[in-house]
Amino acid sequence: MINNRLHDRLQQLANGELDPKQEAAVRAEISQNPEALSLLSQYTELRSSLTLLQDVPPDQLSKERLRSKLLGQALRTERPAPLWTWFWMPTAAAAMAFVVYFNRTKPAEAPNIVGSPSLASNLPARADQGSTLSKAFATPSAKPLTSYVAKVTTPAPISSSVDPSNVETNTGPIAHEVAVLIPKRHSGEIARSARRHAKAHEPTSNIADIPADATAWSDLNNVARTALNTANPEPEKVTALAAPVTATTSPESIVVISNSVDADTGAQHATEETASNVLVGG
Amino acid sequence: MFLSAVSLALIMGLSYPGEQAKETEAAWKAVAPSVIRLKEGFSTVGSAVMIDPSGYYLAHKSRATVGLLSGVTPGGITFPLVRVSTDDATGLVLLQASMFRDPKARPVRTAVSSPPAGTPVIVVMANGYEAGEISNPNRTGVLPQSKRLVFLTEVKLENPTPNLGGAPVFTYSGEFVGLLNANLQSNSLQIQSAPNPFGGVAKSLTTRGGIGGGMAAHQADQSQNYGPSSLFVAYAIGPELLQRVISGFLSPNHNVAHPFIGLYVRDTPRGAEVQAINPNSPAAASELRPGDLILSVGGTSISNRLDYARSLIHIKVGDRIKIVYLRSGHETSTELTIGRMLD
Repeated sequence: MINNRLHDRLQQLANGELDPKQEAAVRAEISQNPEALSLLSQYTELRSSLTLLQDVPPDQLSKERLRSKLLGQALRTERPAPLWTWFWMPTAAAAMAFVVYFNRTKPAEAPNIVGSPSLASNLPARADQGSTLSKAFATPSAKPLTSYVAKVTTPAPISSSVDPSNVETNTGPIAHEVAVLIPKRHSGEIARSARRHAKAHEPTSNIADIPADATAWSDLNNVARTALNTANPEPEKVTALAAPVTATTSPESIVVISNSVDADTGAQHATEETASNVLVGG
Repeated sequence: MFLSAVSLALIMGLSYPGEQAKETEAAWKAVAPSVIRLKEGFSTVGSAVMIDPSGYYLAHKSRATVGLLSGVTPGGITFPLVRVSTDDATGLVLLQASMFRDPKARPVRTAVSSPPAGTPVIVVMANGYEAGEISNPNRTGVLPQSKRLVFLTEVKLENPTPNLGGAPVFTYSGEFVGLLNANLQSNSLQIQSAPNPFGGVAKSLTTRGGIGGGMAAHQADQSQNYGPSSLFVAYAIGPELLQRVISGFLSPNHNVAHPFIGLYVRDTPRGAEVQAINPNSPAAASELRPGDLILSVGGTSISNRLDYARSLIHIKVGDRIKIVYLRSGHETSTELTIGRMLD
């Protein structure tokens, strides 16, 4: 016969919740009670089996502990989130909007036409006049910044031995194009590059040798002076210009407009053809 | 929460118009009274510009394929338009609004000369406007009919659009540059590429003309081509030719008088040799014959056919020009009067 009190004692004994004195008393009480011994054995086995379950929290192995745990959590007060966690979010968002806005409205560094794919198409009109610079721009392997300097200085080394009349014919338009097309943000690099090139061509590279009063040199002077006067001293000779920019003279291209209409745009087709392939007249 | 705030900030930042967008919008507002939308039935097919306050509008023939069109003012008023004249040499058409006058409309101010390269422009299409830039104000080109060399204004756009054909081009100061006659085809990418300065992107395929057209064709050339992926190049006839067309359209008979000689030359080792002469032309009435070597035209020395073509760019109907030529080793000259090209 097992009453409720003994039943609870058996559970406490199986769970190891009794002190040694109580445990001895319970064991003495049930020593002659086979039903109680069998129930204790079941509880003990169940208790040992439960401990094998890895994911069962220890609190749940005892109803007292579980009750205590539940009561403890239920009575605990939730701490509200501090206000500063909400404050930095709009601040960060505003900062990001600020960055985005000023990146968008930052004026484009002029001129953005330098080295653009359409640059070659910009230049044939000047190419008509004999400039070879436009072809140099159009060379896929050409590096634009060093190319400019190379094209300025290579055809007309800065030297008193150069015939100004020859320079007027061959480099005047080139120098002008460079003056127009070099972006300001690269002026330092160009200046350094110009200095490297001047170093590499010593002793002919002397800015004082440029005949400043020759109008034919005006464009070249402007570029060369700006470049050399702003150059930072760099003692080493850079051999980057060892691979010269090839001033190719591609045949002049003409835009030929045909009667056929582009299905995508509704405009007439235009193609760029080599001048020698186009029938012109009138 | 944070992500939502950031997203909102990004959307606001990106949607906020930049300075350039404001300028473009201001430019559009300035020219809008001179522009109408063209409609065929219920479809908007393009746009036209007013060239005369009496109700004459200029459009491209690709946008006015039927005789009867409707015009829609910026204020939303629809009125009928009649196609009065067509200039086949340039593809421009003259439309007239005979039954309606928009009191707010004003004729365009046509550019006297091409704006310099780099000038920002707005291109007005049927569905809005796009910002562009003049990339070459004096590109030489050949029109399909006359085979004469003309100056074209080259415009580049970053955002191509299906309604590009015949789109009016204006500078930000409101000058009318022209109507986009043609766009460069992708498969004509024979021009040498240059390194791309736009944002320092290393490589991307450059398509000059055609919305995505020819993209596959250029896959093989990818290693050779640099630049943004959607750069778009279109052409309008130059201001000198445009002025001629407009003044011809506004003449009593609404016809454009293009100069005509009827003399075609070819390059030979000796120089520019007469290849063909049009039977009904001023050249046929002169002493010039096939095989003659052209030495100069109007005082300009000629060494090849391109020189010859260039010497004819600025001539006008009725001008007298002197042509010096070589025949059988004897140098001689002839004078002829520039005629009018018949369509």
